[in-house]
Amino acid sequence: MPETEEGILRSEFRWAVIAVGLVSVIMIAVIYAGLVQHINPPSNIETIDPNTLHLTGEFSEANLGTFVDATGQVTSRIVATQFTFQPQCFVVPANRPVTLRFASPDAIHGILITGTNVNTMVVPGYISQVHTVFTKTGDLLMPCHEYCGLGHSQMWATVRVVPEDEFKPNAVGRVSCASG
Amino acid sequence: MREVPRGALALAGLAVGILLLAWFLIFSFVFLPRGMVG
Repeated sequence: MPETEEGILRSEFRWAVIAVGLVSVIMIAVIYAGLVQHINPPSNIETIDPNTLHLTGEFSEANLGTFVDATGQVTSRIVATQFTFQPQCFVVPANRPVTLRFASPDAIHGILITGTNVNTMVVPGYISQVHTVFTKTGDLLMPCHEYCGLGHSQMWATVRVVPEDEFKPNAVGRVSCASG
Repeated sequence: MREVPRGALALAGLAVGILLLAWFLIFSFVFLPRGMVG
């Protein structure tokens, strides 16, 4: 073990190199996950008026839930409010790109979907958007993970991942938990 | 007293090594398998 000042400095320098190396390795792993596996933090800047989002437009009640548009794009729109998700259950297909869009008319909420990397905040005034592909079928839990008031612990939704052949939109392109 | 400083590097190295390994295990077996999100 070094006893000289110089020896100590050399040991410290070596340890600093190791520490920087470790941090770099971790950063490379995260960048790999982002670029190669397309695992990125959701990033979307879109504003919406929280006071009127329920009345007209994208997040009006008839437009909530899962819809497939003419190009085959699957989009689920959910309103996070105190203290429920509307709809409380929505269907998504497995192994297909899905876009989830969230809005809140009141408090800051957050969602995660168990067993997936879906995790985002829902802030009043903004639309949160997450793109993902669900691989495992079944019912997943989507709780609110940002304290939003006294009912926060009871605020959760079900994400029903169905196999491709069971994902059948109706005449207007809607798929809901109630059908099938 | 001479032995103690030598062990310090081993202890620090082992502790950091274990934590780094744990990070990589969770990264590869939990985070990556949970799939694409963006």
